[in-house]
Amino acid sequence: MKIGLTKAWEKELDKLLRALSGAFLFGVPMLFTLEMWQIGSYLSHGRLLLLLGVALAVNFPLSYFAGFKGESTLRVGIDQAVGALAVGAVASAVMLVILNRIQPGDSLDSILGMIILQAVPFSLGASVANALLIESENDREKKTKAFRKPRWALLNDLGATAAGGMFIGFSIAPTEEVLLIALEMDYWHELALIVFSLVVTYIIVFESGFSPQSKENNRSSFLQKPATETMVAYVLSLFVAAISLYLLGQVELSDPLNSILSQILVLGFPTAIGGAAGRLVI
Amino acid sequence: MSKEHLQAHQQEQARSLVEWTTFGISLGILLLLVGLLSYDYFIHEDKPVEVEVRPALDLIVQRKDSYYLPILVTNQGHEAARSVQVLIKLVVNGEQVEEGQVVIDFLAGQDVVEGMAVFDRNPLTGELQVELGFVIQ
Repeated sequence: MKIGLTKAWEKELDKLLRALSGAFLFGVPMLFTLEMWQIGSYLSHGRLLLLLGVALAVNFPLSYFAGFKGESTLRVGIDQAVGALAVGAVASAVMLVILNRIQPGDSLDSILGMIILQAVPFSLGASVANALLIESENDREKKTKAFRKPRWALLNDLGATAAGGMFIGFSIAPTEEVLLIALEMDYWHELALIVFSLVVTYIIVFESGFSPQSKENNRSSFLQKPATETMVAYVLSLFVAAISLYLLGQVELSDPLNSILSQILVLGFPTAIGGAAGRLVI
Repeated sequence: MSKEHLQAHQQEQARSLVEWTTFGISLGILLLLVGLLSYDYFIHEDKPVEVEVRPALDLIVQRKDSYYLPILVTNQGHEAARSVQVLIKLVVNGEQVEEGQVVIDFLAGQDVVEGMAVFDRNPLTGELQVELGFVIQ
């Protein structure tokens, strides 16, 4: 019974981490939208309750047909929809605190509004996690054959990280939000953002069960070990963020260093998520 | 019951226990959100926008030839205000000598935003007059 219970917990944790990965992959662009914070802070209580209800109602069919637990019964559908929304709410609360959108003195209704509004896209991402990213076994075999040599695998990973990061980075870098968040982040928020970026990208690539490579044990090269790969990919994502900001004229070399660094760290979160997604799909 | 059956039965039991636990926690999180929303709804009635401006005279800083005066703009109400305009005039001996403006794009309910007014002469030498204009969301 004990072994069975441990196994069941491991399986459940895998599913939750996959939901969390889906949430970030899908919901991050909305997180960097000024209007989402503003609208969240003034929506009425009634409308927020309605939002929660609608989110549940939309998550149910999504979970039922393409849910992160990979099963379809009525009970499981309800279970997953509730789970997806809860995962979305927790992810939303944590991110809003790290990005300093929620501060200790804020009123309860504006805090709740921001968390609930952002939880909707996060929960949808959690629900479609499976459908979005799970690959067929065939693709998986082809890929592992093609990139069996460690050198190729490393180039493949770095290229995919840069491409995925650029894809998301370029869609967020031109917006005012990056500077807005960066201006209001203090040292502790920045530190938390670095740690969280590393943890989330690690989870997406190695713990969510999406990646065909995550189950491979023959990762011979040093840079291919999960922890080192995550770190190298994060540093590359920061470069991608810096280049995106510079190319789009959002930072100039003459700007103060701490302002440049803060913006790179802020944009580095979505580019790291994009990079992780890139490593999964390319 | 055969050994395989017993094992399968135990695994099924473990699975359902784990699933019920996560379902319970998830439901708890959602109920907490709904509970907090309801609590907030009954505790606070919808209070209209009420903007208060306080020049922080004790925090004036002089840098080179300019005086920087932090302006704290607070919304005591629960509704949000847009385009909050604060007009600050420095009056010395009944005569207006300087005028500055701070515009805050968005001020959520119960929120405090700090702006900065810059003067050529020390604002403490005269009388500050504050005028307020805003658009309600």
